[in-house]
Amino acid sequence: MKTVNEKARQRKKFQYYFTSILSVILGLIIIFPLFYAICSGFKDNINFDNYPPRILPETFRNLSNFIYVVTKTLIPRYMLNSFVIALSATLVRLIFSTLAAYSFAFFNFKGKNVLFFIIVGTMMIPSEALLISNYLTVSKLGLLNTYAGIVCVYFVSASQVFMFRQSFKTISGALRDAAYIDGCGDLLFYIKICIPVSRPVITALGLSSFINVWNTYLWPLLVTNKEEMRTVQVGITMLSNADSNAKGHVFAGIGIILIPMIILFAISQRNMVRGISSGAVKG
Amino acid sequence: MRSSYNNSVAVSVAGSNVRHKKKLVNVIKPYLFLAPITIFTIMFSYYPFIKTFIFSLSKVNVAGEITKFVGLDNYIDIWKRPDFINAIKVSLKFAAMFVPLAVICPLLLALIANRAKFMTKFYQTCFALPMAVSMSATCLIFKQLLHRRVGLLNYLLEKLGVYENVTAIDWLGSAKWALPALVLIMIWTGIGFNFMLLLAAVRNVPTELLESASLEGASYWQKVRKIVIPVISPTLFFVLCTQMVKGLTMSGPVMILTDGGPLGATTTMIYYVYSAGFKSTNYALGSTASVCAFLIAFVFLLFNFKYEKRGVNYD
Repeated sequence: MKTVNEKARQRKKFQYYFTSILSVILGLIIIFPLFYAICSGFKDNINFDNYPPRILPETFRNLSNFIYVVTKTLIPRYMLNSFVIALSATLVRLIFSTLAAYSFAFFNFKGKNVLFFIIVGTMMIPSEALLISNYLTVSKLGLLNTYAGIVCVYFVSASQVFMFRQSFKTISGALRDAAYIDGCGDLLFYIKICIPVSRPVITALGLSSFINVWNTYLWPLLVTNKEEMRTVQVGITMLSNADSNAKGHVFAGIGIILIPMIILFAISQRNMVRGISSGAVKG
Repeated sequence: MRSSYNNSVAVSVAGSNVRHKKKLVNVIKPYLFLAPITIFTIMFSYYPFIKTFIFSLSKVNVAGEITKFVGLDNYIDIWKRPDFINAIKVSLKFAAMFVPLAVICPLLLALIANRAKFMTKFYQTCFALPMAVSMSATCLIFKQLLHRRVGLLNYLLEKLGVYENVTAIDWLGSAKWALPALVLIMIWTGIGFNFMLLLAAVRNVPTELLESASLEGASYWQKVRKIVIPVISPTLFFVLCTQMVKGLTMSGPVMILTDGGPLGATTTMIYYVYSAGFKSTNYALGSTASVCAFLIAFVFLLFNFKYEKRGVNYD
């Protein structure tokens, strides 16, 4: 005879298996479009017009689409552009926001709150509302079709300033005073202490910023019209528009641009979770 | 305490000239650290913001130069334009469909993931992976999945018997279904980030609270409603606000997939800004539209914050 307690335990066990299986199934559904895209890179162009549609390609050894994309299209050049843009934007962003955060965390000066408000206030302005004016500025500076013209709008990240300020505040003021007396100036303290101490935050924010800039579409589309200055995101849609029958090539292109991001993401996931949760839990 | 050092150095250094210099350096140092970011903030956020506002009050030529100040004429004109009114309606409709789903789907996933105990790493990665995928790649993938004739979604629906008496839906090509299809795509792209945020929040709910509630015989949904939701309300509120702005300013998928069509059914406010400003080079109209879009999003946010005082607790 089963006791009530035992029944309850069994129900709990059932729930635990049920939710786990449900999670796995939901996870598979969510990831399905990606799986489909990667598989589709191996299919022939004609394959996409067949009914019923197929998920898996006939063979995974057919690399002709990938070879075509790498040798016959500008995708490698686009990837180089995106890489340069994402990397430079991320580096400049990190330098700017750590410097600003240092100032906010360690100095007392006139207008501190006002300046902080001005920088954090940019979070309230949606970048879409600034497109036209920023476009005109960049074109007046003669920066259309240049890397500088694309990256210049990405240099400020208010949320990074905010997070680095939190992180620097954990470094005690006493340590800084001690460093001072030993003749260590602010710049040296910033480079030798603050940056190494906040390494985890820097990696987390750096990686997510790299992924974000790599993935942007609209701004790079507006400020470039030369073929060879396009970014991958713009380039891949152009490839799809140019030849709507070459779907195999498009999906191979998608695969090629996705894989670096997925790898980066896999490396950084743990870091990013920590970054996200530390910054946002307090609301 | 920190400023005490500055003074002591200033005193100990001999010679008033040196002292003066040192002091000056100490005064401007904080500003030097802030200079780069401030310059770019002003140049690429506040200056364009003000400029857009001034444009919306002026006549502007194709080169982007102001030719005449016209006051509120542009605003009066734009409210008479049926295409802009349509754009507002489309954006509101989109946000009305998108925001509830964009909050509830990741929340449910987070609740489920918090309870499940095996293969956690696997499905957490699955839930979070859309974060790494760009908008344009997502759009191109869904374009194929939602294809009318050979798309997998229609194939699935047909196999399930949905299409027995009706013709297959042309998801991105029909005025009725294009917007819901875009909602689906936007939900998919946003789900990863919001899931991670909410999962972190759900994990931080104190277990003692939940345990004592179970001892008193509370069911799972009671616990979720009475304990989990109030405790994670700051994070939920954050997700709600960001998703609302995202929904009201959505434009990327429209540009890539539908070009505002069919028949303006997916012309959102920001797409309108884009087409007025860059396709017809009517900068004044585009600026007016973007100020309107900003104000509408802002009003909704204010409304949110008003509600925040009642619904969110930060204890």
